[in-house]
Amino acid sequence: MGVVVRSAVKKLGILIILGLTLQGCGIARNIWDGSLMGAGAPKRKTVVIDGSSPPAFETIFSKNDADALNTLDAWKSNIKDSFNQIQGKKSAYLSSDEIETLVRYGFVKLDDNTERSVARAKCILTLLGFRNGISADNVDALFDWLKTNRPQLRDFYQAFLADKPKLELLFDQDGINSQDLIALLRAFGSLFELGGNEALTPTEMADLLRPWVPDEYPHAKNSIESGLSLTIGVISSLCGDRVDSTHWNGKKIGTCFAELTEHFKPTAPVFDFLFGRLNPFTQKNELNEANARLIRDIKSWLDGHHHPAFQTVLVSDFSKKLDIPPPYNFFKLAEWLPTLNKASTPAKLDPTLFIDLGGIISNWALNFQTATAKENCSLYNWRKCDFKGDYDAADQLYSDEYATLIRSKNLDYIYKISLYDAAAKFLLSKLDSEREGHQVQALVTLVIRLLDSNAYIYNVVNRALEKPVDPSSIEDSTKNIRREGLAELAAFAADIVPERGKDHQGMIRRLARTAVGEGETIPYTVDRLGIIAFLSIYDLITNLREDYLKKYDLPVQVEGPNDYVKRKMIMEALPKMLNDHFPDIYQQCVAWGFERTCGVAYTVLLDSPDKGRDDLQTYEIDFLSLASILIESMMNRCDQNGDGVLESQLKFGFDEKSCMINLARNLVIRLMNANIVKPDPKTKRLMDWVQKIGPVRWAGKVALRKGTIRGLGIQYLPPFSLVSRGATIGSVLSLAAELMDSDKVKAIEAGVEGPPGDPGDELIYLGRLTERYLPTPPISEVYYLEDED
Amino acid sequence: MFLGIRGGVTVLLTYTLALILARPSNAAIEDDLQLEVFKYASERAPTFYLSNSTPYYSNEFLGQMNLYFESGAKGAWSVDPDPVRVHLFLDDTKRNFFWIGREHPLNLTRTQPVEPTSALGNIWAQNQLDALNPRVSGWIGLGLLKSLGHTDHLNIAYSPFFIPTFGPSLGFTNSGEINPSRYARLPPASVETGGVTVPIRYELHTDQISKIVLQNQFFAAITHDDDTINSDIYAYTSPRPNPVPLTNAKLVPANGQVTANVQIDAQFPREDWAGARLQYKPLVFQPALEFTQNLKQYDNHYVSFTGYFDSPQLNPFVVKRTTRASFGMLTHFGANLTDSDLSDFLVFVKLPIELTNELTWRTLLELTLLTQRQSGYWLNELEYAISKGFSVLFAVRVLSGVDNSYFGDWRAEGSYSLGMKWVW
Repeated sequence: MGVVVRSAVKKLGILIILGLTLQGCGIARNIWDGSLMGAGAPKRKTVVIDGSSPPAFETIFSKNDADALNTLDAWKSNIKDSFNQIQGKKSAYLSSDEIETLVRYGFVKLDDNTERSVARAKCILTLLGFRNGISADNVDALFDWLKTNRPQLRDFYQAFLADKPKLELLFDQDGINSQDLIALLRAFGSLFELGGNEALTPTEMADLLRPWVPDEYPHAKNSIESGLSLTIGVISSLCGDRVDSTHWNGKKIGTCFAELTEHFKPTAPVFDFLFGRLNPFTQKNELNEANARLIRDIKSWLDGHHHPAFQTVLVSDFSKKLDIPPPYNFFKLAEWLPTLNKASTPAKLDPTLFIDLGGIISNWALNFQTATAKENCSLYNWRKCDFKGDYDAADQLYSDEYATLIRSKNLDYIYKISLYDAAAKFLLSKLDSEREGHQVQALVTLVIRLLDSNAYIYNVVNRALEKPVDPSSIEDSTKNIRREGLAELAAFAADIVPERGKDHQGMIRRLARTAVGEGETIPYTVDRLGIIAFLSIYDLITNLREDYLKKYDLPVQVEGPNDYVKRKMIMEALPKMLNDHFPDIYQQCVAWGFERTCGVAYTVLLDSPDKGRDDLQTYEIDFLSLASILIESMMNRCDQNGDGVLESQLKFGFDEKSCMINLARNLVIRLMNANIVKPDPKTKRLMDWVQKIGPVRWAGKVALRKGTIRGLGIQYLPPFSLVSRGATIGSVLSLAAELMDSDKVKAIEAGVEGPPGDPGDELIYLGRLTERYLPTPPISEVYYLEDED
Repeated sequence: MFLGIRGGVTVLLTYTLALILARPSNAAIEDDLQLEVFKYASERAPTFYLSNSTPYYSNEFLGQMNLYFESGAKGAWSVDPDPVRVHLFLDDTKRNFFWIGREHPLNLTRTQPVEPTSALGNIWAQNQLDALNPRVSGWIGLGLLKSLGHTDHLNIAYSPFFIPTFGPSLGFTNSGEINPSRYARLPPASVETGGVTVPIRYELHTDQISKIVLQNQFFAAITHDDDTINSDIYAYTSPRPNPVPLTNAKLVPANGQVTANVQIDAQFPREDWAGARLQYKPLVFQPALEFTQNLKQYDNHYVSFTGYFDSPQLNPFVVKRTTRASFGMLTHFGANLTDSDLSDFLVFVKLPIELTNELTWRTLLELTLLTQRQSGYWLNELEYAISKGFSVLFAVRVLSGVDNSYFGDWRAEGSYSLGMKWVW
């Protein structure tokens, strides 16, 4: 037993020792190669240096001056310290190779991709003029520049961040003024002056800038070179031989900007007046002095230096590279250049255009000062002060019967009329009104369209951002035709809106004599007052449109460059619009039955050009305003004695009803030519007969009074027709509605649903508009039902 | 190395001078020569070592020449005469004397020499070329031992020469790279800043050698030694034996590469220390407790405890020689130290055991136990005396430790060795 036990113990002991040995071998190996507590020889340490990062760079442009300056100092100190901590071949200087090495290693990171980071660094250095390297002194100079110009840069940075559309900031009274622009130009000028005399071709510069554009934007990358050529072309025209005409030379451009700002500093008050930020009363002397030298200073800037013309092909090249349609309106306007500026051609814009533009601005200021010579307003918002003086054009164009909520005879109105007056003077000095009168309308429409349409800018931006663009050529779009139609109506309004005094009778006779064929454009009165009226009306209907959208909460849907608003919502707001801005029309429509008169007329005017859509482009609302202005103006022009009723008076040789018939005929033809109302040969024939054939005219006069062509009976025959009662806006509209869409009128009179039309048309049936949307209750009597004769 | 040569030559001359001056009566000389071949875990090729210690002593003179040589690319060598002193007795008691030469003043009054594992030895200049077996170095100068009674002495010393701690070389090259000795503690290889890591190139700057070496050092102590207590209270002033590197770094972009060029300016700032040691002899381990305090940095202080005992007799047939074992502890407390140090709460045991009359087993275990700096060194050596004065040696050295610990830096340098030893 003992032997067995001893043997077992021995075996167990051997097993334990074996186990420990085997395990121990592993431990022993770990101990041997030092890996018991760590694996192998310890690695040599890496020292980690956590530098203190300065605050975000953008803080330099924040509104808090203390924070901004602290950040600027922190960054300057950080970069200067880096110079002390980096040892280049030359003391306090880093060559471009050394900088490239540092960028490759990642000490300076301008992009996640190393090669792009290097390219960007090279770009910054080259553009700043430090192609070969940068010294600590250069860094000092750059930060000093930043400190000096920080207020201007901050203002622009803050403006850039703001919600407002950027262009509006130029015209906002609290926004950027000319001093700011001058300061900014001077700032960038001084920045470029810090660097070396580096001249880069657009190709070289594009190679430098291309790394900054992410690969996701191939169009933007592709168009950099042509965009730069365009920019160089503009600067070259502006600066002349002070800069290279085909190269980007930062230093020379900087010097030019500095000279430019210095040269035009005395005329800054004129530009402030241009942007509405100078009070022309409290700063009258400054404005006078600046205005007196504006043209002289522009000429002296151009004299002595060769200023190359701007090649318009640069714009089309740029468009091609971006693969977008070129700016149609811009090139159409360019066709006018030889007429407006003898030295220019459609392909080349001569810098003497600046003199022409300066002339318009100067005359604008002069017109205003002349008109307001006896006025005074020291308020900050001086444009809101009332105008108490006399200004012929303004007086003739102003009516206190409509649109009074958004327009009053204040200094803002005079300010605008002064501009239009200056523009009219310029155009009349360049154009032969006899031969080219009808084209003036097209020219002015082009200018307005150019200023109004942002389609090209939209396409440039969207293409660069690889978003969908509007590929339509403006030439062939139905929208273009509609806009021309608007111009047609505006031209007509320009004829009849101004109170031309005795001359308006001659104008009516002229309009009556006009024989109009199919699709012919009817010229308007090409005189100073006519051009001013044309521009003023465009301005008024635009302001009315903005007021409608804002006041009646009409939501706008943006699709590409176009804004849309639901047609039904316009119709729902129609009674309020008319009540607020055209009260005479509103009251008359309500008296005659709103749906039967305004309802039908305006639904026809607002016919949707794009069938299948339930909305309209926002500019279509302008037809509503323009038609209303026309109706009011026609009444004003024909209502000789101002009693609100059109009589068949033969006193003084002027028949008010005949006047209305003549003007109405003109209006209907224009509406048909503009495709606003469906062209109808029968209606045109009727219009001609009404004007030319006596008995038909007599019937027309009665119809005017009754507001319908039905049931005229014996009343149309003289002498009854001669002594029939007067027509009013209501009766005119009632008749117009019947002529424009008799089906709708019949349905309304029958009290049933009418034929299907555009969305919103259903509101004119079964009294829906009256029931739900009238801001004031209707008058109980409806005149047209009575037979008063 | 230059320092070593110059120091060695100076002391050699002193040694020679001392030999000439010292009367040869009662002189004795010994020699202890060891030849070993090591196999390191980190290398395939063997490494050869030669160490030689030659003590020479007489009534008036004591000198010991220490030679150390390691072969190979990582090798190093030193010729270190320490101690070397000539006594000029002031009376017949021979308890009062001047000495001139090289010595640690407290070696004259303590029962054991000052060890690197003691509080004072840890902060004193050392010869660390044999990194696992460092030795406290003496001052080159002169001193006075003056009895103040039967048991007390005044012990003062002055040295006009400062010799820093002599350790494994880093071997800086002209291109800024290093070619280090085996146990050199390597400086950082790279620097990371702003998320970028670049290699470091070093450039060593020192003051003029004369400016470093010609610095005054003063030591003063009151010692007490009786049957019960051996104690001393001391204070001294001396440059710090281990340099404080002042660095100035710059990034250098050149030839498409970026390196961090670090200029090291080795400084030896002056330090003032005070301390006390108390050894109580009646207790079984004759424990010695020591405390040192930096007089300018109040958070810089050390404490050590050492106990002594006779090695156990495992083999009753062994004729016992006097073999003393020791154990102890050394620690600093208070401030964080930047570099790993032996005083990171060191505990050690030194145990020589005579297994037979010929065979002796020596084991040394040193552990640093400070949190996150744990490491250990374990030496086991067998010496077999083939004849009187000649023995063969076999040893295993195991090193282990976490990164940034005292022995952990050398954890890949575990080794075994075979050697021969002559003593005559």
